Amino acid sequence: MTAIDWSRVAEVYADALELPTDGRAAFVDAHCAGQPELLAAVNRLLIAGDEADPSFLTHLGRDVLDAVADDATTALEHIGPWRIVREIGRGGMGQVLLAERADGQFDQQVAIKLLKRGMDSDAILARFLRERRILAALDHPNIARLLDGGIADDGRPYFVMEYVDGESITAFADARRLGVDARLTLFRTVCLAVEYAHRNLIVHRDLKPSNILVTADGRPKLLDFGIAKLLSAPNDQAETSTMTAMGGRMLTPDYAAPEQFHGGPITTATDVYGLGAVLFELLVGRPPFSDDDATYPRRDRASDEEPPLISAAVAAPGQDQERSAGVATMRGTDPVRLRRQLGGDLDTIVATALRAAPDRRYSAVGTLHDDVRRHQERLPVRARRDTLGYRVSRFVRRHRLAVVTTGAIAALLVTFGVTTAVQARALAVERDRARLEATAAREVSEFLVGVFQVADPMTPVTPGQGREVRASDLLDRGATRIESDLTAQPAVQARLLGVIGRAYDNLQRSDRAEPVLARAVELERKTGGPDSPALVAALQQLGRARSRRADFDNARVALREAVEVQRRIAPATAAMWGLLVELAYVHDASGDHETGRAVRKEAIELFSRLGPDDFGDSRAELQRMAELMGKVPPPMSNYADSVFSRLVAVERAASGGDGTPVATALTAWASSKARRRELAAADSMLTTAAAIHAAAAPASVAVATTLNTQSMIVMQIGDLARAEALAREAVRILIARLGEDHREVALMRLSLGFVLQRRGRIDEAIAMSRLVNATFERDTNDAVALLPQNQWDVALLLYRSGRVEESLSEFAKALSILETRFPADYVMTAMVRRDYGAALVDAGRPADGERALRAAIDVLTKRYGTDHVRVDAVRISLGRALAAQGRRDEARRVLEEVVNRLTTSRGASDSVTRRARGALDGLEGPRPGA
Amino acid sequence: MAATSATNRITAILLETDGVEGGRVPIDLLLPLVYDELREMASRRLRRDGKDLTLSPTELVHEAYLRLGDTASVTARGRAYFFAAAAQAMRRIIVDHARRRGRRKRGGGERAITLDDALAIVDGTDVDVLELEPGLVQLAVVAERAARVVECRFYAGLSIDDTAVALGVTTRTVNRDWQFARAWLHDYLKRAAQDGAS
Repeated sequence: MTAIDWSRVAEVYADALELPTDGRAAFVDAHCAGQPELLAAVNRLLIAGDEADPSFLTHLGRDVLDAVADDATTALEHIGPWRIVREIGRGGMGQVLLAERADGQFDQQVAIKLLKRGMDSDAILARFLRERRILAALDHPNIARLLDGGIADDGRPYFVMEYVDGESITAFADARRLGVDARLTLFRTVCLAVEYAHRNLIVHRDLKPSNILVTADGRPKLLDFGIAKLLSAPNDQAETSTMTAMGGRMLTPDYAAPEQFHGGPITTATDVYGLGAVLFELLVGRPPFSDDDATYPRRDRASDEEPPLISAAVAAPGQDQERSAGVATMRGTDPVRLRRQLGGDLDTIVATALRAAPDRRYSAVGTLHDDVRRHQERLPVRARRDTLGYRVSRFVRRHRLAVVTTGAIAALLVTFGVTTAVQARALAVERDRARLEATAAREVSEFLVGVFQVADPMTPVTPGQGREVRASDLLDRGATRIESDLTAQPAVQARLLGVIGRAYDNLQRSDRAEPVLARAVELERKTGGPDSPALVAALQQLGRARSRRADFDNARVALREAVEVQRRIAPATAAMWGLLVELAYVHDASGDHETGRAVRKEAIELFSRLGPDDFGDSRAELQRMAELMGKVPPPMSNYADSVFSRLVAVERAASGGDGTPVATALTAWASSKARRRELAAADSMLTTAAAIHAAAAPASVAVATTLNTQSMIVMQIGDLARAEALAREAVRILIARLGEDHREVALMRLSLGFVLQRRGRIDEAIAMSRLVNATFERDTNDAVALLPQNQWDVALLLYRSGRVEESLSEFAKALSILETRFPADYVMTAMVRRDYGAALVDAGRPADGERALRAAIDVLTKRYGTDHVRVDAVRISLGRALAAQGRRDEARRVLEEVVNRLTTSRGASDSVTRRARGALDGLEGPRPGA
Repeated sequence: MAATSATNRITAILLETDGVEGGRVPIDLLLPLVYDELREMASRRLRRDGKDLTLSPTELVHEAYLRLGDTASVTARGRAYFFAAAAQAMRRIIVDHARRRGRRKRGGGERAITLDDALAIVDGTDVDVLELEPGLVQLAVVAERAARVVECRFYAGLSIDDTAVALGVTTRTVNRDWQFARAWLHDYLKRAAQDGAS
């Protein structure tokens, strides 16, 4: 934005706005004549102004008051009779301040908990007054006294408590390297205090290490007794937890019991759970559900899963060795010995305290205390090991297996180099979903390795050596073996078949994917029941595969069911959104726009309600959805940008910067933009993506494919020189990586060929095509799928650039390829014959041309009907062929018929009609030329 | 509490200004006072209404003006200064708050585009003030008055007429500036989103 006279821009813009829409362009052009920058700026503004939502900038989206008032109160100096000394801490609920008596009457220090704004102060205060007597009566050496409460000058509620100078129980224990036994003793003191409170009918509800401080002389003191209850919502029948009272996530879920999530009744058993969680952390070094790799997103906690055993958690096989050693050191021992100490009865005690169902835990804290004591005194404990719980956790680990195998198969395929770059990229999407866990997945890994027994990683193909192994062959083999070898484990079968089906799909073999996925759905239904997420996933995959084959009706069936099941399981998630988007697309694709619109609407509404955390695990999902959105009509396609933008941000956050997944996301975004003709944006995105890939690995396949995509887009923009440079670079890199004769190189050369054609460098383009053909000829699949088309292109290229003679042999070659592999009435053959015929006429062999053209007409008539425009188009050439042989009357008859037909059906100004007309008129004049 | 010392001072400045033709623009003097006054009022409202608070910037600013007490003698120009100062104050308060809140959420350091930001930009409804702010700063360089208009309308919620009073121009001018600013800022946000993505 340099040196533009913005006041002028503003003037022209504002003036233009005062005109009706259709008058604007002319006005702007007139007033910006000779000043392209001015014109560009005004136009940009006109577009932006149009695009902007009418409500843009008309209201601040959030509560202003909050913002304005937030820090106005920092300078509270007094609260009640207390003078504030300093802030001790800050938490989810508010601040904790150190204070002392202002009137110097008592030499006492207190801790004042000053709550945040937005709390229902009056209600809280009322409740406090009710409970005050009870709370104040809690007089125990290990419980910090609650002294007073009220409302401060700025309207915020506060509680005054005995000040405890200490550290959290876990920090205290770690700092002094307390051994297991000493920790248990400390823990018992805490239990006794909680038991005392229970006897006085007070439940803590918020037990966690930070609420259990230990003074320097080793005395534990429990804080915040009963405060949680005071803060909970007023009309509590079931005494719902403080978590929801604040309308948000206020307490960390690490130590909260399941019933606090569900809104069930809070009882003494809730405190047992809390104590169990604290004991877990005291012994293991982390809370029960807080893995380092965060395998369980917080929200899943509500699924009542059982935590790992402490002996297992402290030295799990896949775990970071350093960490285990550190944990053991802080307990004054080594990992092996620690594991032994924590095993056996201690495992059982902790597990019992942490049972998901309250009635299966210790019913009273006193019992928990007793069992700990018994363990310390080597007496038998009362809690019983639970085989059911054990089985439950096994089952869960088995399900995690399913997630793992997705990644395993893709990783294996790539490692063994049997997939090409393109295919590997497609499969990598799957890999993103999973993480390999050695022990659990070992059996499956072995199975897969057995299936995919291949000799050697990626080698350049040399003629004479065996064909490179095709990924689809491997998948075929895998599918067969899964069916035969795993009949005893239908659940695993279902998962693995799902994986194979997905892999097929990614390899563009949706025809193969469908039956496999249908089988997977069948198995999932049998094994998982009607409400399993795995069933949803399988149905979704099936729907996708069908959709890719354009079997939209059946795709709809599968996706509809998936949506229904998902609605029962978890309706407000990213997964649901993904399903809705796919379903909408399928409805549209099958012509039912009204339903498509309705489903889209639901999807959009849901999308706007989802937050960043909702997409964490499903980046691949986001990408797929974004791509899908690029294909559907507006307004949904407008959302493609927001989805992609979100995807990029998620990838950036996940990779801590600009990792390869960001490049992949940008590339997909660029394609979407390109489809919507936003070519410049696509171009710059791809530049960034290529740079990211290049930073990771300078001359990699990824860079090449990105540059290739970019060259196509740049070609559409019109900068042919740059397009050629990009395409050349892409080919160069790929040749260096894969060798001259690799199939991928051939495909990329085709792109370069396009650019060369557009630049008019026909000879080079033809040479390129010939190189490509040579590669295609070598592979039977390509020879069928790609060679004929490419050969035809070569011939056409020659023909259209005037090298008619040369084109003839190429046409002949194309025809012979087609005739060998395809039935006689194959449409493509007919079309090639048509072009051949035209070329023959122009080459001065009208009789041969006539023969070819008539043959083409025969086939096309059978396919399209005798009056079809395609057939008529060939007849035009036929007319010329006849005329060239001097048979003008025949020619005229043919052409007149065509002209009449076309004029009626397509109008006189249609291009084909005009061509026919031209040929007819040409009969009268000089001999028609080429 | 009728009028605090702050409001008295504000009123004094406004009255003083009116008497002086072409005098020193008192925005600098007004700004800190108005700033404190707005915050004070906001907390009082919070205390009174608690969870049910819904206060728009317009209300806040107008209420602040009304609390100034004896404003009968303040002329239109004085009033204008107040509103302009209030708009600037609101902007500063809100942007500062957003910054603080943003930092706390992400633990300081480099600010990544959050998903809501990106979405908001494309949706065009809920604007993120932190994204807007550099745009507004740039707009002020390019077209100062237009940026002031945005301050008044967006941050202080003033009507076109009130804005015209605050800035001492005609409503037609405000309208034109407003259209321009909206288009310009939308374009800016669009580009910022694209740049952020690439």
